[in-house]
Amino acid sequence: MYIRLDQSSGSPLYLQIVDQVKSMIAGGALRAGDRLPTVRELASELVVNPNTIAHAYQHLERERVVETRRGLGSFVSAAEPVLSLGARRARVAALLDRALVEAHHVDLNADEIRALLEERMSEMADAERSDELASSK
Amino acid sequence: MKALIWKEWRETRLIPAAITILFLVTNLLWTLIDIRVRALYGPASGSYTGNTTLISAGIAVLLGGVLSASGAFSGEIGAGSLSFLTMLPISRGCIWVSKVIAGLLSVFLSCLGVGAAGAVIFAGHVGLLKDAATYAPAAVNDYLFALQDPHIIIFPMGIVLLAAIGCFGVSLMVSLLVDRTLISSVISIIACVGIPFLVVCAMSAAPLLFSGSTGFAGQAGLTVLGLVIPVFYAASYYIFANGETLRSSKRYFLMGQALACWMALNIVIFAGCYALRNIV
Amino acid sequence: MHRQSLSLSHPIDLSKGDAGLLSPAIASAPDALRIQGLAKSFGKTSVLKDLDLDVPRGSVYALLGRNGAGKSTLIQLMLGILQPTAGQIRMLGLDPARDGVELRQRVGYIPERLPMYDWMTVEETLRFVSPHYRNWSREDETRLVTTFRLDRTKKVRELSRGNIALLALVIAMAHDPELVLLDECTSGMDAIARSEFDRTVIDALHGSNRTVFFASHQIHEIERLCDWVGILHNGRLLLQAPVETLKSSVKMLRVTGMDKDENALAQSPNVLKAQTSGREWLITVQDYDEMTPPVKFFGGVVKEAIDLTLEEIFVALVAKEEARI
Repeated sequence: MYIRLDQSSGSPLYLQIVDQVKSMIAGGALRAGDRLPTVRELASELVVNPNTIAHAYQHLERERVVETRRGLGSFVSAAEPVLSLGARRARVAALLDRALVEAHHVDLNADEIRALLEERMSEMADAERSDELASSK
Repeated sequence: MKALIWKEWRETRLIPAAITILFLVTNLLWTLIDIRVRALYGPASGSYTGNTTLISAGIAVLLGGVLSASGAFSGEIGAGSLSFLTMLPISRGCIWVSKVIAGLLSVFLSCLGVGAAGAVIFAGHVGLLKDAATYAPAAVNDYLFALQDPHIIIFPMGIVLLAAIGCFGVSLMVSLLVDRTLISSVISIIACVGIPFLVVCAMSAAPLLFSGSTGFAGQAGLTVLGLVIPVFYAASYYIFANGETLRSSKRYFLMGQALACWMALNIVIFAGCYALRNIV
Repeated sequence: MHRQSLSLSHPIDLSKGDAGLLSPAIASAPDALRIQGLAKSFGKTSVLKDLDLDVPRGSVYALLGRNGAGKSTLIQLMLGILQPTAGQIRMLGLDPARDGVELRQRVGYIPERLPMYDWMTVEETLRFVSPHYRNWSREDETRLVTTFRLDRTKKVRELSRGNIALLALVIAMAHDPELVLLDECTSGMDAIARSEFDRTVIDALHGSNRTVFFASHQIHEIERLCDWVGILHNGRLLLQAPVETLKSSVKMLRVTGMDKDENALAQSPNVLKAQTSGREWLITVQDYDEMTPPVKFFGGVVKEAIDLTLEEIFVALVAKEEARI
């Protein structure tokens, strides 16, 4: 698991960890059942207060992204996310808005943006598939 | 405590050696010149006698007393290392005691070293005078007396050692008030000369003030004199134990307090002796 | 006034909840440090005035302040090296003015100036210091000296400043302290020594009730280490709060369509800073609520709430305070 914290962004460190764990799961770098490093290991690796890591894990746990098994550690959960469809949509919409602003500035029109979105989605799906193949071998 | 004394000793251990070497070198040169002069201008023209050895030994030991203490605090205050000691889980009392123990050890060793060097000079000078066939009755007589009655040497050396311990106390207090070792040494030397002078003045003035009852004044004067050395030790302990960073001006305030206490004590002693003058 | 708004966050103290996850005993433990009405003056100069401060056990508390804000004086008072002019300090349940020696047994301290005897070797320094601590662990000492690659035979005067700080860290950590006080000690350290230093501090937090108290003006460097923050300004505590609470309540709003002048904004107690580029305003506020984010601000439309770094928050708060006086 590779996490890189950006201290100059101002975004709270625990949220950065949460976001990066989520994107690793989305990108296939982490999958259901994988064990996450312990609070202690990750704190030492990132040189971050253990309470910050614990807070990030709690947050992930609340969102059912991660589950803690007593004495074993934290694992990427297989469960469906608990957030309502509305909440999930709102979260992604906020990120899409930023992408759209950027697209406006670099002069991409609506069709080009749609095509790009399709392209990225299929690329991500490919990456996930090839990862699965590699792990089943 | 052992570690503290070890550290203090590492810092003061050069002083006895330096004092002994200084004493040895100056006296050696002087005796050699003396012998040459006697050979050239006759036995009576020499300037070096047994008393010279004794007096210069006394001065060397006193200097050892001053130097052993003058860097004790001032050096650490100047370098900022005192805060290394105060951050350890040890009381200020312990730090003070360790400095006094290591310093007094250095005073005793200076005394021993100078004594040994003095004996060598003694013997050498007598031997050379005889070899050179420049018999100088006055010079040699001193030595012969000393050999017959060792008290002639031991008693003054004892007084000198006591005085050196006194100088150590004075110098210890000065080193608390000054941040530079060199300045502290100079002030300590001045104080060690000045304080006995003041005491003598005060003692000779006392009978004039209390005409007709010199007995009690003498008694009180002796008591006060006997307390001079402990007073300096007590004052330096008081200032160090209650001072904070020791760079602040609080230490001067504390010194003022100590001085006031001492004056009060003196008045009590004089009053006590006055009250008891007819009984004793 | 900020103090009230943020000190009230004490009950919803996030750090304690998190610490509870690590070890349930911590949440109920008393504060590691509690200071009430503390004042200290040197002669006529008053350095600390009526200071209140609480450090929860198990937290990593960063005391931030400009140079000369009184941080080092406060630490020396906490260790019993200085005596307070007024007020009360309870540290690990002890009064430093009275039980200074016992307290220093249980506290690891790295001073700003790193005074040591430059004629001693690393080994001699350790042997000089270790007999005074009843809990000194030779294993911990060896482990740390090896990790830091300190040469025991080298004299202190031959060490770089970074290595002297690491040696001080060995001394501060090898006696298993309950509380570690770090006073600006990492200034002047190179990146490698710095990251080793920070990692040791982080590793030392695990499995123990240990509390770490940083005093620093290098905020950027300690943001990732601390979970509590206090801001000391002119001898008083401007505020103290868990870092996350502070970061979620101080935000920069991007506002458009607002017709206000800067003076009117500066009068508002919750506006720390306001800049405008004509059409758009950037306004730093200290009462942002993540649960109910503001849509309107003084008649304008809030486009975005931007996260700020601890350093930016510190600068904004101190600048506001300085402008107020």
